[in-house]
Amino acid sequence: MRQEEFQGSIKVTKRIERSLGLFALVGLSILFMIPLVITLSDSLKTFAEVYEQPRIWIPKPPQFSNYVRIFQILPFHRFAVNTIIITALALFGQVLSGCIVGYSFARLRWPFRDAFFVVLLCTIMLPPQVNLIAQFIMFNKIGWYNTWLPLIVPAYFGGGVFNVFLMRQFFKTIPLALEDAAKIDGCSTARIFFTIMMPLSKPAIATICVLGFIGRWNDFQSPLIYLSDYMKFPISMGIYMFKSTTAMFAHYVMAASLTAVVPVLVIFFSAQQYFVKGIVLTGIKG
Amino acid sequence: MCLKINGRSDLVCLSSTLKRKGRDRRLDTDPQKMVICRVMLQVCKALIAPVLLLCLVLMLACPEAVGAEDMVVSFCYWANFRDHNMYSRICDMFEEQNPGITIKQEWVVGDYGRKLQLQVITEKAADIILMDDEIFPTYGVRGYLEDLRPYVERESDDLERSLAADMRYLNTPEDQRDPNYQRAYLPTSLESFNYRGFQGGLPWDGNAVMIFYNKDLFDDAGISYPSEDWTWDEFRIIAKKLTKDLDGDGRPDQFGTNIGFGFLGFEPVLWCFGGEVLNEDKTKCAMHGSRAIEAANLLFDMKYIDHSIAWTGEMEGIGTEVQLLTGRLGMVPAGSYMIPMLNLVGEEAMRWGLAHMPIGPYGDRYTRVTWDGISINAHTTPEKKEIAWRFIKHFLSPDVQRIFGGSQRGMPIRREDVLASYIKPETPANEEAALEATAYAKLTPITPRYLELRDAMKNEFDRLNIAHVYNKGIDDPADWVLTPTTEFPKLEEKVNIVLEKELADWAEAAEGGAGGSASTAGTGLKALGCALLIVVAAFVILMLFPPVRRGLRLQVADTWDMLHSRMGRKDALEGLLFASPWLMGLLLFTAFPIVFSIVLSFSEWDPYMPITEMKFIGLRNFMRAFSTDPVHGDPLVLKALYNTFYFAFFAVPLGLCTSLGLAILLNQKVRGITIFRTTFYLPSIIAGVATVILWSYIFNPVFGPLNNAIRHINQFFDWTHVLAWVNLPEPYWLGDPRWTKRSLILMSLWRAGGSGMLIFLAGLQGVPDQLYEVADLDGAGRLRKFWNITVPMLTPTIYFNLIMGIIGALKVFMQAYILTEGGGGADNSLRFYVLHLFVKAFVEFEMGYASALAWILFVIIMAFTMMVIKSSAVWVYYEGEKRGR
Repeated sequence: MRQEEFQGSIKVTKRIERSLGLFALVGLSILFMIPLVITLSDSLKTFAEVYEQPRIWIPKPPQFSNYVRIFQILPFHRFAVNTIIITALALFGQVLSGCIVGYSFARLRWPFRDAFFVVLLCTIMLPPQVNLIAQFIMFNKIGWYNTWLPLIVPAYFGGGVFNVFLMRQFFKTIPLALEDAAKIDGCSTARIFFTIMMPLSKPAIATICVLGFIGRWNDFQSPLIYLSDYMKFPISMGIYMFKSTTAMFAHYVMAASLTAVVPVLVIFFSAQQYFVKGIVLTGIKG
Repeated sequence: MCLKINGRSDLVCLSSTLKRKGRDRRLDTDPQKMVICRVMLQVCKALIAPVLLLCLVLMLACPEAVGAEDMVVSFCYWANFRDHNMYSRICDMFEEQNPGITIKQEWVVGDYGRKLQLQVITEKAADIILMDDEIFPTYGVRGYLEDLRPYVERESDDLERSLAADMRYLNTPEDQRDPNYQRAYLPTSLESFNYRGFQGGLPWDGNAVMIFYNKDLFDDAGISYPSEDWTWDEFRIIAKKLTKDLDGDGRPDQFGTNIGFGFLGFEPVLWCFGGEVLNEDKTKCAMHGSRAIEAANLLFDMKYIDHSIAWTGEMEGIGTEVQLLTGRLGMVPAGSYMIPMLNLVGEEAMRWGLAHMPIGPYGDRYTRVTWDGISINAHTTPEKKEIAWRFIKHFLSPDVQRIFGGSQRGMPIRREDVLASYIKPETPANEEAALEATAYAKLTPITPRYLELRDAMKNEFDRLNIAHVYNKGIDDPADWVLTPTTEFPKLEEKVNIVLEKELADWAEAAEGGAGGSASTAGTGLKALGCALLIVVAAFVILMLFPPVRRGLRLQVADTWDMLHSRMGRKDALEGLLFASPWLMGLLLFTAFPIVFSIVLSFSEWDPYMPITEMKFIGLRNFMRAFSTDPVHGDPLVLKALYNTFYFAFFAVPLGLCTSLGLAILLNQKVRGITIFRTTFYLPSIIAGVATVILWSYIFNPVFGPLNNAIRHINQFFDWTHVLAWVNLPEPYWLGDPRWTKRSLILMSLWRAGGSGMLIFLAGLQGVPDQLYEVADLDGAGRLRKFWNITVPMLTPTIYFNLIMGIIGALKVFMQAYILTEGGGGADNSLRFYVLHLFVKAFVEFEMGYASALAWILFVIIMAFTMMVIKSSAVWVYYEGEKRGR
């Protein structure tokens, strides 16, 4: 009898907790959504409606044609293909090198490892703006100006220092026992890395994939500097084409930004499974 | 946990647990969803290989197919898509007329000035460069632009002849000019790209500042439209009549005008009152004396007594054309570029008109005119220069000029073309006024350090724009502590400092040449030596700290050990192999720029000059950063540091808490959690431009949804009576220097669902369920579980996010840069350290000083990071390191 009561009360508290959690989720997400709703509603307006006061929340009729128009006005499909190529190639390198290097910093012993780790951290600390000119001069000297190479190649060489650091942190949380066991069985380091460490750090890999993806997808600074032929531009630059110092087409900017978000969402949705731990799926295999 | 350390069985045990758990999870998820997921995954996997292949193919196919014999001349310009289409049409026309020539269009999107700068210093600049009068002197002075006089003087066709005649007229002293001469080109146009006789470019379209007014508002208020010869007094009266409080909350929300204190806005007013910004030979500031104060007082009184000028903050985020459109602003001074925008709107939304500038109290009438120009890159080949010259002539030809005129983005440069194309009877405006305005228009006095000059004036002007903050609580205007009378002397002082520097530049340039190059010969080596010395010194100082010494000794000993056993050597080799991508990257891509910037920080270098011009100046850059002396020091560094620390102090902990809170909420097992995750994640992926447009609207103090919400909440509190004492402030957000940083922090919290949250989410996934199960068995409450399991297990993640957060916040740049367009916001309250550094490097071209600033910041960041790293031993818990090493 008492036991049942106890269990019942646990159930009730659990239920209250759950609904509280849900309530917080719904409330917060509404708060977070308001700016997005503004973006969406602006993207469905005409030029004049965007600025009308008091604000029009639901434009009548909604200008869905804005989403078609942006593709007609500018070669947006071309920009999309460019972005996909740059992002895919750079992301692959970034994640692969991030994992490998992160592992070496977390688990392998090599000369002056910890000193080099400090150097690694230092490279994140220096504001990139100072290196800009020197880097530009350098890439220009090797003939990479107006190609995608400066956007892609450094990624393969531990370009995302952030990822290296993140992966190191994750590898450090994995119990040593696993590796020791494998080592005793005569497993090589490469094999330990690919068959044990990589599968175990799937949430981390998913995270750096998603983060790297956003970074590359929205990257505006490096294409601005390294590309001069506008047919090679990525989407992030395309969005700027609807705006100049003397004219702004906010409805197109909003429509283009929302369109550019769609692929990121698709990736995020598919990466969600990896965020859910326990589902054993193959990660990136070498 | 049930793990035992006994080799293989343990591994098997764990992996089977994992597998089992996976299977269990699969069972209790929705089968339909699972199928969708799996299908999607399959599709993704199947797509990866072909997409990568396609990418490679496309990359190889990238070099565009240009006919081998074609002469390619590049043409770079800034544009929005409409202007771009216009340029494309013009290029096509040119290619048609000149077979065998291809114009390669380089459309610069974003920061034109910086792009041009990088291209120019690496000699990658286009052959034909579009200019405006603001960037012209920078390149003109340094010899990057071809002098067009010899081309004009050939006089081989009508265009060249007419240009030559006008130039001859301009080059004769004023008293000897033929009074009956009819200039072919509109006044001020050719002058604007002429720097001390050097014609670095030719104008092709111009904008004179006019007063655009909203006819609907005038009709509503029963005011007659501005007359031909209205005065500033009338302007003030009209503006006052147009200012209204529409919603009855006691604050005006419709304003007469928006002229603010700012170099560009104030200058025409100053001229109309008979004042000047700089003296005749541009060596001293002329903004003193009664006329300047009188002009400033007009605006000041309109703003703070009549309230007929919108606060900068009140109209923040809404472009000028828009302020007219919304019907909240009666009169706007703006250039011709507004006409096409307003035409897009249509008559039914708003009727508008175009009026002359008002006449000042002493009978003067002036306005500012700016011209867009086109130049030839001086470093290109002679053949290309010839083609470029042909292209420029094409640009100035009547046909093309009429295309520009027809688009109304600016005025063509010849009267007959203006009459034929620019003035359109069917549009509501009387564009004739714009043409007439060129008769009384003046050019802004532009000097090589023009941008720096503007920057110097900004602070005082900003303070005038927000004078109500400083004069708060003082009712009598006579007692106000901040008025033009108090600010203008300071302004003058600052401008004079910049001008002094400029004079010094000139003096240096005059004596330069031979004397300069001799002393600069060994400068690179000297700087390198000094850099090495500093590195060694830093090393020695670091060695003084016992923990560092111990760490290094350990490292050396470890390495020694490693290299002396065969296993160790194998380990070392393997480790190096794994680390090699980064090590190689460090060597290939990072080392050179870093060494370069160290060397730079001990030198003085204008990036436009060849690298041999670099001058070694020892520690002077560093001394300058620490000195608050207004002439030789940089008082803004302190302000920038304060701003940055303020931001970091609040943004980092708040951001950390928000992202952790969100991650915990999103780690619940609730139906539709994916949707929720996406919701919180979405804000962080919206492109920068859109976010800025969005938030400047949200922060708008009059129309913005944020202040509307606050107003409603306050009303609700009043209604409850119990809570009536609660009165939330309705700040001016981005317009008020006390609130700008808070606004930015709010913005960054909205984006907290990005990297921070995702990393926490992944961290939470890494906390083993068994721990919670055990705690449940022990009857631990939720809070206890959070505190005793979640937090300790998450410490590595918190540690990571904390370090990245601190580094990111101290390096904060992008948001402030886009939001303030590089200006630093009201009263420099958003001038963060890196923004300041950026302005120094890329606006004022002091690369050496900027590098020194960067290294100072580096040391600061390093100190903070080291503090966190040192403290981590106490509070960070690594599951992996519990046993063993």
